[in-house]
Amino acid sequence: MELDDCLNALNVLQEAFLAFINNSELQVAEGRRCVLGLADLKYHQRHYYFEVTGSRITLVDRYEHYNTLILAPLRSVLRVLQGTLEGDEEAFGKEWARGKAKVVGEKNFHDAIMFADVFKRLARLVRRYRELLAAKAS
Amino acid sequence: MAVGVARALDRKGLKVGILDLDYRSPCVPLVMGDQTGQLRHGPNDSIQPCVINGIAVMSMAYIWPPDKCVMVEDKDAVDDVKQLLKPDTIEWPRLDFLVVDSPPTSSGIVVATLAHPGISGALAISHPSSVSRAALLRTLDLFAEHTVPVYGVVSNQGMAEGKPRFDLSDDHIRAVAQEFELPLCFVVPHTSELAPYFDELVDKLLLVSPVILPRKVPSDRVWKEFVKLAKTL
Repeated sequence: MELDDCLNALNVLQEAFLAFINNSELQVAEGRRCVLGLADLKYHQRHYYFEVTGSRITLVDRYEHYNTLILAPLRSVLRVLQGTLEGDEEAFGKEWARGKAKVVGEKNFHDAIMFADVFKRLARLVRRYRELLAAKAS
Repeated sequence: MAVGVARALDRKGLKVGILDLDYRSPCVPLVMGDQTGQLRHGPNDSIQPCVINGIAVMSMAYIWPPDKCVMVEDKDAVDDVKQLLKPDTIEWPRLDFLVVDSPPTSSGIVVATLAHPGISGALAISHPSSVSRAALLRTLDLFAEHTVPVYGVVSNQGMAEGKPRFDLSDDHIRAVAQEFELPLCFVVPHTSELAPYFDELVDKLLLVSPVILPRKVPSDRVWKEFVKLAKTL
């Protein structure tokens, strides 16, 4: 069920992202590939990796090539996605501060900061998206 | 203290940056009165520091949520700090001085900082209190162990409106400076008008040469007694 929640959250984020992202935002994280992976893989038969860049957020089966891998437990990933969906700009920062996410990669500190920035911008986009949808519905 | 020194250097027309290495409780942006900054992507995958009133600032305060405790494991925190200290991680503008604000412990973060070869000198800060003085002695010992050059000590905010705020006086901190033969001992009172004191402190800092403290080794007599005892055993 939790994974379904994750996937639903991803779909909404993706929709919001594609609807309102502009070219300058697309270019920010271009060239860097940050992957958010699930750390508690022993509970799952498959590996799930969420690729988050300045241009997209998607679920991928497996990632062989990445600049930085952020491994976090499923519950942690879910909290990030749910928080972001609720428009919380600190959703990623909170999980990082909790010490649950392990960051791997040559420039991991830089990439984690940029990753956090992507989620902040996503949260802002979601808030904007929600307001616009509400306005459209009314 | 770090902000006061940085601002005084800035008032002299020097280019200054502050690196806030209080990893778990960063507060430099708060002290500088601007927490709205956001770190940006710099060239070659570097991080651009924020700029507050002309002073470049890098702080974990830009990363951690302000109301959450930081539970990152020590090893990971030290790795982060080591990356922060690498020359290509932060895209600092051209600087005359980089002031590093370090927490008062001998944690891995501080040790990693002290191991950095680029340190020109350290300034130890202490309230004139028994507790703070004990931390000061440990800090000076840490500087000696890591052969870090030391400018001196600052007795910080011991007096307010002519009355002592702590159980010791500035003289107790002066005595520590004399004991370690440090070139500088400065007193900053508890006042809202700190700028003149920091200007004076920086004037003195720029004139003195930091010293490397000798490591404390057992005296010959103690060593001989120890060897004698070991042979007996």
